[in-house]
Amino acid sequence: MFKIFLHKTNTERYDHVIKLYQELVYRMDNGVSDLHISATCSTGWILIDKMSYKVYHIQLRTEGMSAMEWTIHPLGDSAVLIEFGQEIHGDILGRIQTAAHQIEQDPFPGWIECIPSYTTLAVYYDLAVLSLINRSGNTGIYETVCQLIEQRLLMALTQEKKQQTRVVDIPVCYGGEYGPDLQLVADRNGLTTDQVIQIHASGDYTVYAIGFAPGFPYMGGMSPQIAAPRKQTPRLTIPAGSVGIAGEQTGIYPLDTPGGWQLIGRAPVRLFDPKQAPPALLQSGNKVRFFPIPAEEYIRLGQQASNVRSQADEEGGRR
Amino acid sequence: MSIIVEKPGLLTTIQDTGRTGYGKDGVSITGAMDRPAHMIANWLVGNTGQEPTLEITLSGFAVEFTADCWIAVTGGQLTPVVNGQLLPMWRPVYVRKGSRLSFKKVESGCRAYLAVAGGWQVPSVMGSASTYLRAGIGGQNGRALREGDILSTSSGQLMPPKLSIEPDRMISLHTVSWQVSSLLLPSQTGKPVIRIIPGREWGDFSTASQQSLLEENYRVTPQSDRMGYRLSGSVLELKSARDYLSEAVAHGTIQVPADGQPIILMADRQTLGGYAKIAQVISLDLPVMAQLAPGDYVRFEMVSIGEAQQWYGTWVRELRVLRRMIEQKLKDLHS
Repeated sequence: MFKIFLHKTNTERYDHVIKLYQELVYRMDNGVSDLHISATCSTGWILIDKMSYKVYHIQLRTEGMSAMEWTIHPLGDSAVLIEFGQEIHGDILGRIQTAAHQIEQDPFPGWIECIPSYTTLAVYYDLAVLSLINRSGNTGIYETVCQLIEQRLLMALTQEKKQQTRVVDIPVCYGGEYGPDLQLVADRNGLTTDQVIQIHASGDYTVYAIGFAPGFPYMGGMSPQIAAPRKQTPRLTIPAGSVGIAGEQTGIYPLDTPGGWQLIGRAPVRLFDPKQAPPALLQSGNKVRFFPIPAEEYIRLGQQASNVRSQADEEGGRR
Repeated sequence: MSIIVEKPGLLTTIQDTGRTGYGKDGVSITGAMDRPAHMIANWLVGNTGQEPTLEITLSGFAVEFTADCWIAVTGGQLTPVVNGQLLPMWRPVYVRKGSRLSFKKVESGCRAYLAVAGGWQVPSVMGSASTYLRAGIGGQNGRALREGDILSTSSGQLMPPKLSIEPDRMISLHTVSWQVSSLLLPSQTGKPVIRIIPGREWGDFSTASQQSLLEENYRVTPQSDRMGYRLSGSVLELKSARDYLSEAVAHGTIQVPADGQPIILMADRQTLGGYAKIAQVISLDLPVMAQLAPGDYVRFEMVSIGEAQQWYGTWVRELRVLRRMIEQKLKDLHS
């Protein structure tokens, strides 16, 4: 199987593409194998079976019929940002997941890693490796990297199968010493604390990105009914596992850090564990649901989590 | 072989080339701020370059060696002294058991690297020995070195030198007659001109702000650290204020928060940022940046991404030659 990428100039008008397509079919039917392959742009492609020369699949990205739009921007001289849209949307998140998956499965020489976020996917590359590979080429390294990425993005388009969404259920002990700001959030929104808990625990949350701290999820999907502004003076220490609200966002602190979120509860789970693979419990694209637990349950689950931690510390100390 | 930390100095951490592959988990890359200095220090003691070194910040660090060993100090000129004798930088040095190495005063630069033959022995956490201070992992139990810490070394490739004088308590160090030429290294003094390429939001800034960034001096403030350099100078303003969605940033990203004072993201940066990115320091000049200390001034010059990548390629090839020459010189030590 190989692909023929359609040059931008050829796809500016749809009928040109059809013509090109017909010509390709004709030439292949006549056993012409030395087809010119141009891999320079993302406007469309034709997938051809190498053995039978049969056209396997055709996909065109002319105006009005695009399956996946993107723009590649440089992020310095060693990374690019692929932009898939400009607003927070589940479809865009899905495209970012698919693209990241494709690049990770089929990495190009010098590829380091991908970092997804709300609307973009960053792809980092090793300039030293690409400098040595690209030595004789007339094309710049950035252009080469763009081509390598676009080839993979086009390939990702053929992966029609949707990746299954992982749902993570997180137990939370709301209020009391674990959620000192629960009352404040309730008062602010004219609700009872039970109503705040009920609303928070019935939401379906989407993880758009992991960042700020290791394992920290940027989540969307919280009901505006329980929104609350950040604290004017941030707390100096917020214990790991704290569940908070800032504006219309909710999140969980993976480490003990200072912070200004309104704390409504605490989860006895480890969001970041260097001994696990992957080390972050949540990944971009996951769905999260919270369910309330009583304090005794929190203590029981918390002990399990801390046992894991002290074991890990011992191992670290032995080496 | 091991060393005992007598004084930790301002900030001394164990670093290597960083913890890559976990950015999507929110894990900072960390690693040596001045990568070439870290690599060269390793090469000079017969290591591959991947081994951890100590990154020593400004002044005050002091250690004692419990056995004879090969070491190399590179990076900023922080006046390393062994038993009162100035230690030559950028070359392999054989120090004797019981010697005391200390960093006396800052001549130029900000960070020095101490490599030992075999490398410092610390557990690898998620593929790297680098200290990740914010998460408390890597290096020496995830923290900066403290007084009394004992660091062991892995066994090295480099054999002890043939000393012309029999072991004598008066001789505390033995070195070679060659060193890495300073011509190969990025400038470490004066007001460096840092080359940049436009950031993704360069066009969102006012023309006056774009001009300020390219024409005026910016000062490194004391709030600068391994996460980022906070600069002070003319305020940089967006044409119209707006919010940006958080997205991935890179080493050398220059972002501008609401106060208009630029921040250059360095080794311990967070993986995502939500501020407008006015520009990006080119990879070649990141080591220059890493050697700036609070109070230093910096100027910026715009170049193209093509130039930046081409220069980097040239420099990578020069470094490869340097590495081969060092390897040859080390072989000659024993022939």
